[in-house]
Amino acid sequence: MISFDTVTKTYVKAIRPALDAVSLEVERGEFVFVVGQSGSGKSTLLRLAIREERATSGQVHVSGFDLRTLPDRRVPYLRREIGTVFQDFRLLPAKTVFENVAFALQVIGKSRAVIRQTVPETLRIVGLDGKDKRLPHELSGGEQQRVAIARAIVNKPTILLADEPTGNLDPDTSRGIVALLDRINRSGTTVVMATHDAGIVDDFRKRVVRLADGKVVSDIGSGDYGEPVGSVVPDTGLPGFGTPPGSGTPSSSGMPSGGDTPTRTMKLPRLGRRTIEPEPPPPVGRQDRDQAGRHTE
Amino acid sequence: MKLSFVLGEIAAGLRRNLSMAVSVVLVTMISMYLLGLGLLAGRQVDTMKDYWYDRVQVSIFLCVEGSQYPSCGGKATTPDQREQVRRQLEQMKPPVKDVYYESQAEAFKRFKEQFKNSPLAEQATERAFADSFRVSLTDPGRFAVISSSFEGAPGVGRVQDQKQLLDKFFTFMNVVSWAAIALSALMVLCAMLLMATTIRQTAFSRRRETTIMRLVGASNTTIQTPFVMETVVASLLGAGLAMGLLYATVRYGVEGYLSRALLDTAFVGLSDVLAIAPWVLGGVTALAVLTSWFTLRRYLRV
Repeated sequence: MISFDTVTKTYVKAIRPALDAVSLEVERGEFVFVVGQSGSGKSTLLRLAIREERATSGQVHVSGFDLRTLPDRRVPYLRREIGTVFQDFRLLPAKTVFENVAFALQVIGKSRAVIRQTVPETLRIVGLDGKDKRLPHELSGGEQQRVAIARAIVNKPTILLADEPTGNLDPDTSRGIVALLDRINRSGTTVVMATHDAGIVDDFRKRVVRLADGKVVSDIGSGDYGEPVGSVVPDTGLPGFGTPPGSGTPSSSGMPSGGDTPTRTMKLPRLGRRTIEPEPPPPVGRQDRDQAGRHTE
Repeated sequence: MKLSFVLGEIAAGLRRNLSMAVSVVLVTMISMYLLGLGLLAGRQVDTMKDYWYDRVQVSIFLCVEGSQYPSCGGKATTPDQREQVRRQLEQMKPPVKDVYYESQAEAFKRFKEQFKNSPLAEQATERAFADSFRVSLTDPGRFAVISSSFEGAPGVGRVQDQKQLLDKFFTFMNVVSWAAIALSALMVLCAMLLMATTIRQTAFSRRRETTIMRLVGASNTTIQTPFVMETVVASLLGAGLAMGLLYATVRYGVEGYLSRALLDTAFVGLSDVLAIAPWVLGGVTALAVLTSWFTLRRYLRV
């Protein structure tokens, strides 16, 4: 579905490449977390996939399109196969929830009949039933992100790319959002989500691709967030192939559960350790968790 | 892309950026009005040429008692000499089309009629006028044929070509017309720069929309059309107003006033406005499309 073959991307005037000979395969129907520090190349990876940027070298194939040879005027057809979601939601403030979602269909020329049928359907999927007449500023952050997700999937794309979709949200809301992405994934959509929200990654037990300095340093089938890069240990699998690393903490490998509080408490030790990551400032969500943790400890 | 959606977006865009839209309308209007005036002045010259070159005559003034012209020798033309000139003129048809003899009395009457509002008319006496042959030519350019034959002939005081007088006037009119067109070219440049600025500003203020459109796979045409159409609509509105102004100018200024005041002169009419309007409107559309296309290439990433 998405394939990167030794892809290097060097931005103009950059000292080192943002992506350095990255090879990566994402199969149809997969759910992949791309993790790594800020500046590790997560966003560049996603931008290359939607041809926001072009690779300096190497081949990118997405949904059957060869992005190296894809002419500019065909790029819209590629993007119709891909839904995108961002940290900052990117909703149109003057349009209602319904209009924001409908906008995505209007601008690709869908008929009013299709819009009238599809948009409410999609709003139901993302759990915004009955809020279609609200304006974005009347919604909570989580709801806004749901609108953004609705807009991303309303045209039934084969791939959904999410760049830090939970970056602005608190942990509970974040989990709700990722659970929604998970549901969308189960219906057959390939989902790639860039994040540095450790708790989310740990909870959902999906494939985790870790980037550091533009390189893939680990690619684990069903991993957790693991060590921050730069720690002594080299990548491979060490942070545990689906099992908690060394720590005696029981059952953090437990399946994602709705019960937030217990999960949070159980994971405390690991989370505490991970906060050493110096930059960027940890997203709000994690801070909350850590503070909550200290309390309980 | 549904038409109603596009139209809605265009209307919303114009409304949101009303002051810029109004300035594009006004600058386009002024530049197109000037251009229209320049073009009309040019057409006025043509109209007058058509009108006057049919009527221009070569005047062969004869001598009267006390004429200063050397060929007269201070004596009046004798009837024999006069007949001689007339015969010679009659023989010169084709180049000569018509010959008309204007007597001293007629010349005086015509003068008084022409200057009836001026004190000159009261001071003039019949004696100050010479009788003359008024010769119209089939080709008003062939004045030399007449002047070479009659200049200095016995009994002929002076040969005068009205066309030369007219040409001075036409040269002046042409200068006016070109000046107006040059000025309007400058204004067109202003209009183009203003359109470009407006588009830049609009592209910036609408970058959220365009970013989303790009992400969800809207075609370049879909993304750019509203910008282009807004510019086209605003500038066409300006050009339309300019044509309206021009129409009013001709209707009330020229047809309603000038042609009534100066009955013996042909003026441009509404048909001339109608003749230049399609070119002006078409030109403005092309200008708006080109300007916005160039600007969008630079300032709107698609």
